Amino acid sequence: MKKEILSVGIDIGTTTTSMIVSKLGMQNTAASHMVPEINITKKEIIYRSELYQTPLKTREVLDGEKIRQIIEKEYRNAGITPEMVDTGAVIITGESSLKENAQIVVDSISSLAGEFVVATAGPDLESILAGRGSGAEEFSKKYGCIAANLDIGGGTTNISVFDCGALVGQTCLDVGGRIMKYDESGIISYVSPRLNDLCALRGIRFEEGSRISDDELLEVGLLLAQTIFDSINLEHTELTQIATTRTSSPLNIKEQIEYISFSGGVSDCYYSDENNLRRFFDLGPAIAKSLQKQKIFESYEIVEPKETIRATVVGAGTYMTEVSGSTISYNENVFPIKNLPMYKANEQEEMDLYLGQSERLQKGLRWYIDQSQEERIGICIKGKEMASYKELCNMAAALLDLDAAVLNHEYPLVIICENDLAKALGLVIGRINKERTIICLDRVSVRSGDYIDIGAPVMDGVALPVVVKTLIFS
Amino acid sequence: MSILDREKLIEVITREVMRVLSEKNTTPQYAHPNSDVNLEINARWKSPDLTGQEFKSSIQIIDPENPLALRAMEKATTARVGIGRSGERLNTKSLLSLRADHSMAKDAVQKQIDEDLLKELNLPIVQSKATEINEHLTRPDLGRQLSDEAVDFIKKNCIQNPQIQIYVSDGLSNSAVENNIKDLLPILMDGLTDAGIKVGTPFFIKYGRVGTGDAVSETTNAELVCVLLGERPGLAAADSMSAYITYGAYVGLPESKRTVVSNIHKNGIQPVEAGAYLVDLLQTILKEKKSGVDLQM
Repeated sequence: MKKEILSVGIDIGTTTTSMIVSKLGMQNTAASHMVPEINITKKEIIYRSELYQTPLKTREVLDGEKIRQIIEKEYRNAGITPEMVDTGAVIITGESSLKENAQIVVDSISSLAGEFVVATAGPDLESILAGRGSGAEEFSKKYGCIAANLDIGGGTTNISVFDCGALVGQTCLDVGGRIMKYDESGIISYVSPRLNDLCALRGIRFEEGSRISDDELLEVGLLLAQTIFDSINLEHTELTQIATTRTSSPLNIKEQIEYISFSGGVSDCYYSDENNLRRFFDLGPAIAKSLQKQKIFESYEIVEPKETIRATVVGAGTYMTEVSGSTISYNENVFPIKNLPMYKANEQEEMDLYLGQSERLQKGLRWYIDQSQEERIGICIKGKEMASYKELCNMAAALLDLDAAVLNHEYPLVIICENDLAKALGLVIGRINKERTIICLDRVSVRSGDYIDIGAPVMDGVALPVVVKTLIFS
Repeated sequence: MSILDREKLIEVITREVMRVLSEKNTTPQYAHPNSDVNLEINARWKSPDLTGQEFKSSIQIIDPENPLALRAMEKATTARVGIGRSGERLNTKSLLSLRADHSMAKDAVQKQIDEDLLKELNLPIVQSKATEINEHLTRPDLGRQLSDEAVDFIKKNCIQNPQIQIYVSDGLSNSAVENNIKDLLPILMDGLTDAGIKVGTPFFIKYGRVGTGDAVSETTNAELVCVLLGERPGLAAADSMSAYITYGAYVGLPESKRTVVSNIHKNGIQPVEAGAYLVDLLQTILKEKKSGVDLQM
């Protein structure tokens, strides 16, 4: 029985590219007299690559070939081959995700890395992965508190907030150590447009080719630290409005944050008290110093994370994969299924299904397919906690009506329930239509617009590994 | 002072207290039902469901050190976490909740089975050797045996030598049968029949125990017996059902030969999902020809 899966995480960030390999151990955590419940119970990182400068061909184009060489070399160093890899994620983050060839590079790296390794991007996802990888999620669960992780990288600051182990909010700011670069003599070689937008609020502007002084470095550092502070303080000022990444949204949480940890490249400057402002010829030490010196974070308790600069890659390698419920139904081994777009039935559409009616859901789904131009799609329902057999039979018939009327039969019928209902639903659907390939999963939560990957069965076929991707390239 | 005078005095005092309270603009949380001062409040006051999740779940510790952690702990278990105390005793609320749940548990054992439901599901009723409820509770040895009438009925009316014999029994909770069986049994029967398995005629055994299945196995000569049985009610759930599954059962069989799927109820695994799971599990046991600890899952 397969009890362990091998997972890789690859992060192509603004400044650095790195990789980790981890082993995810699974166990049936239910008592022997109960229905099985497979969970990931062990996450062990067995290999960490060194940190590489993210290779660029020009300022706007990633060097795909060099990245490929890095990954191939690191696979050799780790002693693994793509065939051995069961799951994992390549994530392209910060400014790297804005490069012209970002999607091509990340797609080709994911196919190089293994059949089950997914390509991902998106500022919110990045924030969540960094929060999990840094250990903030675990910290908030262990100590019963609200903890935020601030992953300050080269191009972005990714913020996620956890309440007793549950994600409650995330955001992303275009604030990072490498949004300005200069040489030994202080001549500026790069300024991000977003930085100048922020500086304009203080009446400052930086031009490439001009010289930057220590005082100016500290002033910019302070401005950026203030932006970060406003964001987690839920003060949506002009600073945060300008700085919030376009595909993200300002932080929106109900409870007050109690603990803060920093990760990402800049966090190393923070925790090591880096005194040389120009050590990396960027803004990293200046931001770190401002965060420290101005004591603007006095209202929060600062803790050290488990991972600093590797938080995102650890998150990608160990936290992307989840396991479905353990009472599920599938009648053919058609896995892996990759990048399946999902449609979540709304409450009314779902209620109709229990009455055997699918018209409302058909209408909603048709509209969604027209808008998105997807040729295959999976359906997600909440699923009652106590469904009657009659309701279940009605729902099965209605879903098959929908399948006949709207869905493409070249692909399997994929239904995902949030509550534990999938095995029963799959069984009843199979009674009505024996021919159709059906996959019915539960204990996975998705929203319309999410994409999912479903891997090959684990633990004697009892459960399936699932990766939910909130956003692929926008 | 006569009783009448005393009542009059109490009424006067109550009225005065309520007047002062209302002047001070402090709304009493609970007012005497006959107090005219608080008619309006009484009209809005709805008695809570003492066994409902809402009443059970509220944390009663005053000013806890870490309310977040307490809330997370409470969510993680059906145990009564953070109910506080009053001196060395339970709070009134906890006491009421525990007593209400205890009453539910007693009712589940004591009440009569809904025979209309059994009729609707075509489940004929047979009985163990226990003749009434108190005997059922005090003489488990009788509950484990089939009455002579039951043996006759099963031999005459039920399919003999089935691969799988499924039956339903009250055990210690009639509520478990009433709340789960209607959705559990049909999906299980349909699933097994579709799989081409020879399933015996299902019936209901009154005053049954887990071990009654061994007698059923000998009577029907079934390869495998699965009883859907009401579990001993607790203060967390009074309607929990289990499936006890035995391959090649006989009277005197060691308990280690049984496979059990427990916690079938609305807050555990819901009956339809449990039914679908059992369809697979029973087929596995039939194929492996063993149950209980011999079955390596």
